[in-house]
Amino acid sequence: MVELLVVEPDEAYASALMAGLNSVGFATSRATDAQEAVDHLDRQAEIRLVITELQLPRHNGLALLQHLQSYADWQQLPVVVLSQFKKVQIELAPTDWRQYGVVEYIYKPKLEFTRLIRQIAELAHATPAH
Amino acid sequence: MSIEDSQLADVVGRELMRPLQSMQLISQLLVGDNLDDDVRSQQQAQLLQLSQRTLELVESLFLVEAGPSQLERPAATNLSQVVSDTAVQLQPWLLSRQRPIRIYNRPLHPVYTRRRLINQILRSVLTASPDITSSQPVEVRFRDHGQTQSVRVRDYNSDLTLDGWQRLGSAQFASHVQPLPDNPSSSGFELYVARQLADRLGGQLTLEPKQTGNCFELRLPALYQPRIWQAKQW
Repeated sequence: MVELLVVEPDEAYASALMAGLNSVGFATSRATDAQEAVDHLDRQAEIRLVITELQLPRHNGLALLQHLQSYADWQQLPVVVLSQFKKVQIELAPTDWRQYGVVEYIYKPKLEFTRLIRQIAELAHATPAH
Repeated sequence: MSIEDSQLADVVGRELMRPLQSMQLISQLLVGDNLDDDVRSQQQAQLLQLSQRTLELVESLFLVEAGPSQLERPAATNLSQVVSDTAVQLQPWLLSRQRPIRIYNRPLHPVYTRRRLINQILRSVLTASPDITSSQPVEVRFRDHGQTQSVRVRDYNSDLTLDGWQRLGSAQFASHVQPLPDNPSSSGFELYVARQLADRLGGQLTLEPKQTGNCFELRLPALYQPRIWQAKQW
């Protein structure tokens, strides 16, 4: 079973997202902030993909992405950003997103769940566990 | 309402966006046929809670601006009864976030006030904490100060600082991006509205920071008779 990490502070959103992902065969674990996310990744080497909000308590999502890129083990880990911010609201060049490991950026109100599932399936299966 | 007009749309928009995003996602899940029966029921219940909470927020906005004729008539109200009723109404929401409430009841004289506004204030205060669970229950106590009565809500999970609280009371609060550090997507608007509603009742909602968490205090004038209440309106 492919393991995903959902980094989402909002209880209702995280619960729905994880229920949806579990229902199509993904295993999920949840972190509510950047520190918890790093702890999960440390403990669970089988995580194949991270889905993260950018607005997180204390350290924001960009700080998390930077942190992941500073470790060789996690540099190949694909990240899907699922955020309440539009991409244009984040002052980051396209190349920076790629450097941060972000393979997909989705603005929450525009989320199409069935499309997300297809994208995640493709990405996760193409990524070995770290 | 004293928020600057230019900020109002931004604040309300941000506050409504969060539950709407969750409702949209849950609706997409419910349309599909992958969920098993238990998960489907849980998500349906979540959808119902989110829509109710969102409607309550919108309603409380109307209450802030409503004229006296649009508000319920003041009536003899027992504060501890309002707290108990509010806790029962909020039970599904609090249970889903593993946040029990412990109410330390004590006998109080009924005061002459608007029960629905108190209910709305308590809802905002009792759900103000972030979605990060705490093993400590929220504790509610009552005090009778003679001229006033108060409800004290001790929340060990609240992350609101005194500075954040003061900003929530100012007209420019919307420019303060994250008044609730552990709940970054919230503008704190619901608490701002709760403060306005407390003012409408002639009372006050205050925050007393503690080493762990906070204590909110809703203090209301103890007006025991309708005639005194009417006189105070002048």
